[in-house]
Amino acid sequence: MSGRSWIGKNLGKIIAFVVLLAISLLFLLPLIYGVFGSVRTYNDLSGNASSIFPTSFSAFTWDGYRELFSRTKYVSTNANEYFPIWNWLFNSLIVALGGTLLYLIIAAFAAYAFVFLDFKYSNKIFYFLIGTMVIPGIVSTAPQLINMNMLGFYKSLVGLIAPSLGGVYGVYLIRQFFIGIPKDLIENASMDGASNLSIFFKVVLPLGKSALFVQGLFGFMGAWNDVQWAQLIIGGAPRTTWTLAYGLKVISDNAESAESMTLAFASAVIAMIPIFIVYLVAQSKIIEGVANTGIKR
Amino acid sequence: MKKVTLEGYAFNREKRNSKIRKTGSLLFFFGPYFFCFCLFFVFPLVLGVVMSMSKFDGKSMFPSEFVWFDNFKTVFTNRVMIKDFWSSVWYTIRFALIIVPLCILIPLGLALLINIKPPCYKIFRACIYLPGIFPLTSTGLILLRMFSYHNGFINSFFNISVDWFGNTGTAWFMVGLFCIWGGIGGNFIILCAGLENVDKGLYEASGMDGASRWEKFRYVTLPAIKPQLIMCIFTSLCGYMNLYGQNYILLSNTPDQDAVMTAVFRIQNMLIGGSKPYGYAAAMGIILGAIIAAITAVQMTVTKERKGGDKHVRAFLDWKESR
Amino acid sequence: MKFKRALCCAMAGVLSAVAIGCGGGGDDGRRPVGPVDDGDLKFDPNNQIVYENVQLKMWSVTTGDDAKTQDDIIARFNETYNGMIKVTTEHISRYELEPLLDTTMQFDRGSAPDLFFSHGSRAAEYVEKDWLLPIEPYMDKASLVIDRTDYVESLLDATTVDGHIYGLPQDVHSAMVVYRADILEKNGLDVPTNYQELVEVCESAIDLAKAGNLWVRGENSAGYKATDWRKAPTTGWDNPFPIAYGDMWVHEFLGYTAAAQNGGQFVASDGKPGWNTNEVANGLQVLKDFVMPSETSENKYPLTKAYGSEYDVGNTPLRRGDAIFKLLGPWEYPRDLAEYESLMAADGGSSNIQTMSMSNLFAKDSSKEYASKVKGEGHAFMLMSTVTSRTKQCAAMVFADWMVNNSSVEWAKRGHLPSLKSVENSSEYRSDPAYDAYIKNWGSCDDYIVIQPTQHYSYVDMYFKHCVQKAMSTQFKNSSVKSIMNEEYEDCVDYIDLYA
Repeated sequence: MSGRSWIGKNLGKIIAFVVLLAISLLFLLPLIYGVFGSVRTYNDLSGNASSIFPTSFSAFTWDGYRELFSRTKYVSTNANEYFPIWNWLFNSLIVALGGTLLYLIIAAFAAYAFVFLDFKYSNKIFYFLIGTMVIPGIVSTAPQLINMNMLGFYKSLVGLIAPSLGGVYGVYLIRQFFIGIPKDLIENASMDGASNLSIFFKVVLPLGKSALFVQGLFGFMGAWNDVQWAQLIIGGAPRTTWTLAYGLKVISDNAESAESMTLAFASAVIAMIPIFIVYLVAQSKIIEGVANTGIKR
Repeated sequence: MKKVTLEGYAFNREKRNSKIRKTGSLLFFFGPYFFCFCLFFVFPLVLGVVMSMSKFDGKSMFPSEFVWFDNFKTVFTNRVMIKDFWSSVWYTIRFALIIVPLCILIPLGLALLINIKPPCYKIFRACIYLPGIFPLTSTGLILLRMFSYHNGFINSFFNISVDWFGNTGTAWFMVGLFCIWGGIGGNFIILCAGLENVDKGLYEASGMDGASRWEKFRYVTLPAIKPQLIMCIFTSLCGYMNLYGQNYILLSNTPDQDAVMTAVFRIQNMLIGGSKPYGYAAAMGIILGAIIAAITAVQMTVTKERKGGDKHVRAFLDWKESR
Repeated sequence: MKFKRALCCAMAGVLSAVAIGCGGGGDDGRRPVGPVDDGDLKFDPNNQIVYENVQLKMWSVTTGDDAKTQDDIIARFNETYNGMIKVTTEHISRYELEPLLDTTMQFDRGSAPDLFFSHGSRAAEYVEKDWLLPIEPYMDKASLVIDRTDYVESLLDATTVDGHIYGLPQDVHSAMVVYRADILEKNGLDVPTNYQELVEVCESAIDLAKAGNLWVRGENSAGYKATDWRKAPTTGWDNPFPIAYGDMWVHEFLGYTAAAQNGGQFVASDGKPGWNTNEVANGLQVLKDFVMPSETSENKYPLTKAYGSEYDVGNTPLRRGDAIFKLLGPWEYPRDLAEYESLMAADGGSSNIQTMSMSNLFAKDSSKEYASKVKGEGHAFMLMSTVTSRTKQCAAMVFADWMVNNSSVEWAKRGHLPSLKSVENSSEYRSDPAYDAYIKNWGSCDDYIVIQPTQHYSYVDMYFKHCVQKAMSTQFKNSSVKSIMNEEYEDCVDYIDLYA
């Protein structure tokens, strides 16, 4: 009797569990397929196409990765298959990490100015900034390209970082968070003769750390995954200045022929690893961050 | 007397100093951002307007001629422009109208399941969010291979022969699948959080009043997560009106390119290579921007909050009254 | 830093204002077509030009094996001209090259190459964009001559714009057909020489397979060795000549060739597309029938699976004995030979595969003169307009002339048939074993046609390719080739007018 009532009481949970399990597996399936595809011979992949996993032990191979890393040297005759993946990783890191940090600093400074340095028209300027958020990015894509050219940022990583520095959303988010910091704290510190800079670093920053962290994470992921803008700015640059996400598209385009399929999977996996690590480490923060963007409104 | 003036002097001096200091710190704190904002945001917008009224000769990146509104006129009246650009705008809108509801309803369903809190629900939540964090090029490459026509996993597994990326219909279906698989994560998390924050007391109260499951959902849950829903609709709509990456990655080999290009795809294509189309691209960007702004404005008015702060409580009370 | 940026910004604003004001900076002057002055040239006592460590940078459209061969040949040049002229090459794939040059010439002229090795038919479009210098004045200056009678006419025509030559043609190349000679022989099937025979051979093979009588061999997942003869399965052996519209061989060569063999032309006299004709439609119909036979078609079975947008579709089936024919770029043929040499070493090695040109194979009426035509692409050396030093210009001409005259048979082994008749008829060329083994099967330069010059090349080319794709795509099974073409033609012309 107790068994039945347990099932009865938890029927909803059981159904939810089963359904969610199925859906989670479905969501993971392509990723699993990709990861195993990268360590699987082409013959097995095409001969036993209905299997997600390598079908035999001999079908395992590291050739994809070996091949990928053997293509990191420039051979003038094989420029098509020159994949300097270390450069790409490094460039992606510079753009994603460097760009995000730079933006966080200037955005946090700006947010501090808005909240704690009450200057003339500060509110008006802020609402103006908010207002510009309704302008879709596509409006400025073409002119931004010319702009980057005029500043000499074309075909360089700076051209990938620079446009994001003018972003409004981060300033808005950080400001919303700073507003929550009690003004008394700032005033007290100010009375003690602390300069704005030291207030910023000693009082505001420690309290606003998590907001910055979340904004930073999204900035990082966005920059890491960007293809659209990268295609315009560095698409015409030498391959050593490409980012990983863009380079992947080229690998994928070159990979329909039999031999390079495993290699393509391998490169896809390589590009996923860093972001996966970030996700593993900061999973709860990321999810909390996304959740908050909804709640705070 | 003397004392007072000294004080006054000190006061004034202090005031002036603090003013200088204030301006200094303002410049220090707000200056860098303001500079970037002007250079990387405002200036391109202005330049965009200039570009949209200029002709380019394909020999240099600078405009060769100022033509006022000719580019706009062409975009609105030229046959191929109407056929290509406007059809892709229309494809984009149509696709957005289909995908946005899906990108709300599916995550909502999943979030409701998560909210039951079955065992391991945190793991499930993380799994469903996972595909969205990876570069589109990575996940797209995997999908391309999985659904490949010959020797692809799906075709072999189900023993079918569908050229998923070769026909317009199935190609759009694949884009939809890609959008759902890799794109619902954000909405899903937001809705999960929204559901978690619903006042449990309301459920209990409504339970006592004998409300059915559907009634609970309709009159307690939905009003409570309305802000999250609106937010999700807004961001999804904006996002999918700017759809580009998914099509670019999956459909570059589809034979009927005209039928699978989104509006942004068109504009992006015009910006690769020679500068001849730049003027049109800028004009199209402005037009598309206006369309997106208009659509989101309509959406915001339709879904606008009409009630005050304690709206879901009130909604619940209203519902109770009505019984 | 900040100040510098502000300055940049201000300058950018001014620049754009100026640019708008005076219409692009006035670099519109026509390039010199008559004799040129001596510029920075230095002469020795015998009145010969002195080249001292002239460094030339060339961008080349070749990749892979082609590029290796080209590098070898260029190394020979550099050795010959040691201390005088040195050419360094960057190889860039055909799909990346043009956008790259486009952006480089617009934004970044400093890093543009001096020489450009690409497809001659595109020269007219490049001239339109001010990228190229006419070569005759500099050839003259360097005391070199262009003997018009020695060059294959259509190749030189393709690089001639308004009567001036903008590129020195080196070769012509196309895709060719590789077939399994062993399978044909074992089953008593003849090597086809025209379209009717091709269809017949393919269909006989399918019929034999259905009756369980087709002998095939090839590496197979069922454990057969590559040289073991076995009977083809009675179902599923239905893919004798795999082609796909995603395949570069079809995309760049077969589509055009099929059209040309049925009498099609591609460029109208005003440079606009000239392919919207019934002849071209007939040619594309042949390809459509290949994938989707109809009641009126020559073949009753499909001769290829519908591969959609995949590419390199022929390699695996041919190796496995699941197909008899495939298309291939001749530059990859030596690699194939090596592969079969080892794969089928036990019985015949590379003699199991043979090659022939596409000549006649897609012509509905093989009695017509044009039925033997094959669409080719010719490489040519072009001189960039960014080169201002007279010495460099002349050195570039010396290099181009040397290459055209000296890379003959090595280059021809990669399927690049020489543009000079004198080279083709030289004993060095004719006596090479490779000539007898396979080069001669690809015909001579004269059999090939290239697209004639048009300033709208990309549009003419791109929209024709759309037609090919759509004609072969199962999605457009029910639309007639002509209606597909009409639609694409209209778009093409409208775009040309839009950007004119």
